[in-house]
Amino acid sequence: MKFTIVHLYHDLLNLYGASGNIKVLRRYLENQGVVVEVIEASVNSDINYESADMIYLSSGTEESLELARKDLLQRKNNIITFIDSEKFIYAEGNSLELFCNTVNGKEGLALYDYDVTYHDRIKEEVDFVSSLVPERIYGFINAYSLIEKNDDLIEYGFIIKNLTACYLLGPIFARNPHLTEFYVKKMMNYLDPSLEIKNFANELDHQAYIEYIEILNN
Amino acid sequence: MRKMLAIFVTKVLHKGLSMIGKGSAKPGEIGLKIYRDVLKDIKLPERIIAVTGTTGKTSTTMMLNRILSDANISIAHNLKGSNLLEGITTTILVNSTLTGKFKKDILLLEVDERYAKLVFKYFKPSDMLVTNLSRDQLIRNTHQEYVFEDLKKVLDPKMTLYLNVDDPLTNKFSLFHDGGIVNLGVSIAKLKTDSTPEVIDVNYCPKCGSKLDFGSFNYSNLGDYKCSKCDFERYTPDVEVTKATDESIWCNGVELPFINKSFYNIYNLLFAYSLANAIGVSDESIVTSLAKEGVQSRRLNTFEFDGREGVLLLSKNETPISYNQSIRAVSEIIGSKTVVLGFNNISGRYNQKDISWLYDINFEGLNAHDIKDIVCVGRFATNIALRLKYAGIDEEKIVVEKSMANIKSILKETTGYICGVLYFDTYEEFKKIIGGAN
Repeated sequence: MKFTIVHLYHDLLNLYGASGNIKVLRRYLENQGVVVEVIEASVNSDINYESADMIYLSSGTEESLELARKDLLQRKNNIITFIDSEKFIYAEGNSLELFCNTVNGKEGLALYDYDVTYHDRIKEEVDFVSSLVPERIYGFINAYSLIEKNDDLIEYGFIIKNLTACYLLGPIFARNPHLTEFYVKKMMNYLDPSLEIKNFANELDHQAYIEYIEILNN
Repeated sequence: MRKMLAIFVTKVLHKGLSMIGKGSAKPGEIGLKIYRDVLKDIKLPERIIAVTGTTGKTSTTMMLNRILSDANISIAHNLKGSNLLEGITTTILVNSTLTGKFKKDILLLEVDERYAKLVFKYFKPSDMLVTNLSRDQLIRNTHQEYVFEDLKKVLDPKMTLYLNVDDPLTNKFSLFHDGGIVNLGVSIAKLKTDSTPEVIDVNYCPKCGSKLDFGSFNYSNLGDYKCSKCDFERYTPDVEVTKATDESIWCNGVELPFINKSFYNIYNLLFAYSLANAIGVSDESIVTSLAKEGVQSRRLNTFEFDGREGVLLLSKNETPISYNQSIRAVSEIIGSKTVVLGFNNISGRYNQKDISWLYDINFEGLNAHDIKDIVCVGRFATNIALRLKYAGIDEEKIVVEKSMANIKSILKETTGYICGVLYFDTYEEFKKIIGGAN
């Protein structure tokens, strides 16, 4: 069994330990007996969308994001087909914006109905409860925008089928083992629903999660 | 009147607070409260040297101070680590007359890269040295391009820029600066590597957006590169280090003493030499100054513990370009060894706890057969251990110990040379417990 991850714009969108997420996903999947292939792709790369199971994008500087935006627009139809095929996309940090209608006035993929407008920089450590797992999710935000569809509600991201886009950035799969387990279960189910999930062998991950909360609270 | 009062109070406070070790930033802070725009009214010298960048600021400034002072040049500097607006204000006002005339011939400033735009609101440096720009303290700095944009605001056509041409982001200033530029670079064949670093900050041309082709790397982002489409490239250095031995480096053919043998110190020497040379200090005088005890800082200290030898490497959190040098230094030590990693606080200045930066550090470099044990210490020990796990390091090798108080008994269970890769807080604790470094 094989799972292919395309690390898209690996050389452009790579702030905040982005490669950590790939390492973590690889280890979790390999522990389940899956052979993981990671393909690095960037501007103008030929991507075999048929054989890919997941596209991962991370956050970058505004200049880098703009280069990625221009390239990603050329891939719009492929991305739509990818999502419709229930394949996985994880967009962290400001790469989320690429999937919105517009990015500070510039055309986005328009897969999520929102116009991103840049305001003052938001830089803060955050934790929140998501609809995905009961445990709180910890991470960090560094962006010019959050999703504010009305005055009372700030959203950290959105989900479309198996596309997850979240402003939280950094090695979130290392830091949030419950979330990682959730996604790995989904990936295993996508590969073969009859597969039994083995022990994740991630005691250290859970211990680090608990101790990080203790540090935050002290 | 306000100017005079601000200068007077700053001088008095500086004199008083210096006795209790708090004379660097506080006096300037109070001076600015009395007169916010006081720096506008100071008559400064023609030569104002600013040293800025992600790493190497302090070391370069220290060397320059020594070289210029030894050459009998009247100089004022902010060497007490106060490189923000308040500390720099202290330096300027303390060295001025009550009427606002600066008393020295040269003002030498180490300037925090994010605060340069505030410091240089009312005056501009005549010479600005940009040692390098790379990802560093991302919570504080946002990202390296953001820092670039901040520094760009300081540019002035009358200013001479000294740029690290090995760093594409620093070289980017050449696209925006109308004044003089001195390109500095290191071209030492034996130190170059073809292996691509874990993270490169600038992969695409800042001029046309095409892919940069890297021929080789010195360390981290620093290397030899060329745009695949336009003429942006590592320009030929005006001042260049071409050779290094254990004792010396050769900078435009001049042999300089190489006491702190870390690779990054080659850049510090290059910058200090270039500026001093431009001012007119003789090569002989520069060499004499650089050879003096204490001029080239030693972040590397050796020690003995339980009949074993060891080394302490002071490593800056959140700064991969610096931390990766420690990892590289450990990997270059021959023989079996135990590594101690850790910190209690991520930043000495800010109360922040984000650990994402750990995944930008090349801990994969510690995944080696001759590293027998890795001891993770401090409050974040378990999270460091987790990072090591994802660097592919056998969990059996990893020891988690949050309290440095137990380090002696833990080290006794390990073997080989001891390499401490520690942040300021755990570094001092380690020295105290193990008995002090040589």
